[in-house]
Amino acid sequence: MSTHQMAKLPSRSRFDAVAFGMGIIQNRIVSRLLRSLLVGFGVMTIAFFLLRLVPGDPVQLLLGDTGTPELVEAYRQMLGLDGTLPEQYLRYLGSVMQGDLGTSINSSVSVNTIIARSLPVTLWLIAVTIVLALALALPLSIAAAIYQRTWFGHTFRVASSILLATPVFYSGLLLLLLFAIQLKVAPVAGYRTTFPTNLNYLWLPALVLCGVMVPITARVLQSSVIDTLDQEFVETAVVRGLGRLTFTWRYLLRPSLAPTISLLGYMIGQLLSAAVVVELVFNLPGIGTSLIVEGVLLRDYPVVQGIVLVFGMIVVIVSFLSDLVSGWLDPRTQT
Amino acid sequence: MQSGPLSLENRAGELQDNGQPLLQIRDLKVGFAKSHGILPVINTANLTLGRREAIGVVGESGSGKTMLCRSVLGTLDRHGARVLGGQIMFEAHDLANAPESVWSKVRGKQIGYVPQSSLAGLNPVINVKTQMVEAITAARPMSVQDAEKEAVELLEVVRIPRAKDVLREYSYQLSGGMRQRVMIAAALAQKPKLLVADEPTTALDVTVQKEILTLISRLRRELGMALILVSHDLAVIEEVCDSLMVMYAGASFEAGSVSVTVHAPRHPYTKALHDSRVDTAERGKPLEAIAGEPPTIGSWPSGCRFWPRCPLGDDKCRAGDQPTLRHVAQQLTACIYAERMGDGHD
Amino acid sequence: MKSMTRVLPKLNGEAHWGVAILAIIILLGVLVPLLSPFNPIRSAGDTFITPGMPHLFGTDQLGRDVFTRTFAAAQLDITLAVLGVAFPLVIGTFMGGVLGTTRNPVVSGAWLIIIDAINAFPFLAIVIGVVAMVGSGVQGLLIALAAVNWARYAKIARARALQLRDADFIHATQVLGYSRVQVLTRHILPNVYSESLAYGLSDFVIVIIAIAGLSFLGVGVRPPEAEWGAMISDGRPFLRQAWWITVFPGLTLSLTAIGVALLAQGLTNRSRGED
Repeated sequence: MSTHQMAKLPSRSRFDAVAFGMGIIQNRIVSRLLRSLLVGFGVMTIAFFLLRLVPGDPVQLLLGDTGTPELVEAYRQMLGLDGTLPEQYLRYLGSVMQGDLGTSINSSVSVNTIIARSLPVTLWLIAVTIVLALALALPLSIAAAIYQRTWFGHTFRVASSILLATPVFYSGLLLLLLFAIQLKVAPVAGYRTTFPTNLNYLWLPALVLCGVMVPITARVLQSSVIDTLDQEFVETAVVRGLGRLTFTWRYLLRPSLAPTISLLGYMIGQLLSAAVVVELVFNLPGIGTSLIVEGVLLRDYPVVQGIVLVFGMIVVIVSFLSDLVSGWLDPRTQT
Repeated sequence: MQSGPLSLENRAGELQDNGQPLLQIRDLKVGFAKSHGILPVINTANLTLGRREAIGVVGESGSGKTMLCRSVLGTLDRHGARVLGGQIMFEAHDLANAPESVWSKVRGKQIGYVPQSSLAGLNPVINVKTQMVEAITAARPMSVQDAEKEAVELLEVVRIPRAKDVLREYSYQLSGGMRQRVMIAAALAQKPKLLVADEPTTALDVTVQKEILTLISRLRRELGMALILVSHDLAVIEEVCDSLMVMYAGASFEAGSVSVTVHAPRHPYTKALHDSRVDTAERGKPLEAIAGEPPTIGSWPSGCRFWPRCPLGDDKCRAGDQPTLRHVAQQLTACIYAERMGDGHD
Repeated sequence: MKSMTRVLPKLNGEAHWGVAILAIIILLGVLVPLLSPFNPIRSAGDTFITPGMPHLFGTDQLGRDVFTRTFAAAQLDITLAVLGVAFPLVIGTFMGGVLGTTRNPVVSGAWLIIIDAINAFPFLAIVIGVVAMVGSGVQGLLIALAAVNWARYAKIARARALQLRDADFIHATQVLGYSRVQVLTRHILPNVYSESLAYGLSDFVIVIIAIAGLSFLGVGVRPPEAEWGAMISDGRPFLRQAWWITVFPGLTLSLTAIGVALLAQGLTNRSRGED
């Protein structure tokens, strides 16, 4: 919804508007929360049914014909496959709600432990990427909005298309070749958990992820800055001769941020997808590596199920928070 | 008001200095730079405005009146347009394609702007106080505390009740009329010598329109500002302004004092505008609409741009370029047959 | 077909580039069995031969001709991506069309939660999750893409169907006494499908990268089949001494994705320009 449409709304008396506004804010938060809870519930349901996609009997598939009846029964319990389907479902929901994501078949370690070990690495990678991506995308998007119809805007459009069409495993390998093997300014692979040493291992993968994040963020932000530039309040700000910084922050960026932030959930989803691949390219012991190496390649169903669920939940939570922040940043979205 | 933000003492000297006009626009040409060439929007605009004088600019949409405002405000390039010729003399500065060093002396200090109320003139994501303080400190450096005090005084000047509360609010919490009052207060913060108001009452309720116009009119007189009021409504201009400039298809058609221009026009277009007015129409007499459509930007007819719709139009009108303004009686007119429109014509 | 001929002459510069890039890659993909004397999955001589004649893109660690493999992979990847877009497009659009026109709030509400929940997962993560369960390989890939991606099309189609349901011409057809099924199949679905096709083009970029990505991770198309992602993965240990094993398939994949992206961008620009 553009401000233009907002301006056309019939104006209520001020007292009404305040009272109404307060009510709306609370209702909005409650309804968003309800919605997020429902979707979170849906995410759990899908994670539950994931295991049921295995053709035939998963236990049979894992044990072959060698399993003794006791072993089969133990596996059945470990996978949560004992009892009727509704029973299994309720038990799954119950244990997930208590924070229990099951046990790895291969290593007998709880999935929680695997996630607690690998998730921080991924979160660090994502944090570094976001900082780097914002530092690049903010100035780029403003310039691309202001100079939309010049060579710069055109180059921006084509370059972001090209970046988005370049798979991260390819750009990752090329940058690895350039920075780690040729220039030797980055480690080839590996990780140290201590800050700030870890940044040494994270900056190159984060740069690769920026190849996805910068075009996405900058494009969303650019189109919303373009909308803002058309607004009459930008014209009045120019006429008032405001300082460059004030003008850029308060009149161009802040009114344009809300739509971008409300897309944060979507962007985190894209980022997590790309991070899975990048972690494997750079041998980072993150959650993506765990998913592939400890989960998929070893047919460790509970690990896959648990990690995929965590991925979904991260997006649901980030989406909910980004809705709150964009409402706080832009009072317009409250009406 | 004695030593308030708007006291006139410090400007008394400037106000009397000489007989020079405050603003003089001569043969202004403005165009959009498009990939395939230039699309002209203003071809010959002329306007002279004395200190403390109020001029109305009237014209249909597409006549170039908003672009005229933008050339005075220095926001043409934002809209992809630029001055192609002519002069915009504001005091000693020529604002036509002026460099940033000139604009920085004028912007936010000498020319105030009240935008169309239909558009969001207030920034929706920051409150009224921040915007007022910004406007005040951009014009005259001072502490934030002083600026806040002045913001309250300014809101009181534009007759906003509970000024302190309103300062904490956001534009979406204000009514259309209130928003426009805040815009006027923010423009006054700059102690402007010239106030440019582009259709300031278009989207407001009729009663609120009247209030805002009265406010602008009163403030202008009390504060000794010059005013450019753009409108498509002759009645609005008649109420507020001393003189009038009529624009059509990017050209000045007629200029003079409001009363003479309205009641004894020397251009058939001005007369047609007057005849199509709703507010002065006589009962029982059919309202006369102007025949035909106004030409679209860039496809103006040759000769006088009004000839296809003009009752006086003939082959002579079609030839050559758009006629420039010339003196006929007390008026400036661009009609080659202006003499035919005698005093008894109306 | 008629609409295509009307579209093509009006394409702008970007879209022309897109069409040209795609045409070359597809043509080479189709012709490579005729052009190349080598077999994509058999050794053609020495290992690690640097690019030149007769091995234009060199040979890999098993002595296979990288040029032949790259364009054999073009056939496979593009076919897989077309199917990976087509199945979810057809299924999801139909679902969305039905959900947009149903008047049962419980049914549509429940489906909507499922759709939103599927869309909430990071795309690659949930596709990997499904592949891990149903098994890798071409079949597993296509099943996973269909099982996940239909929800995005359903979301778009439902929104469009809701708009259409309220549009005047649908009201008019209802007044004329068409049944709900007739309104759905004759008026809503054709309109909704055209919307989905527009999204399908940009989705193609995501899907073809995902297919190669999954194979790169070892959970998609399995060796020795020539596939871009698998080839890049193959070349990875030899990046330092034999860059061509990795670079050429990657470049071809990127170019394909860029070609489609340019085409999609040209088409959206055009439809926006006409508004």
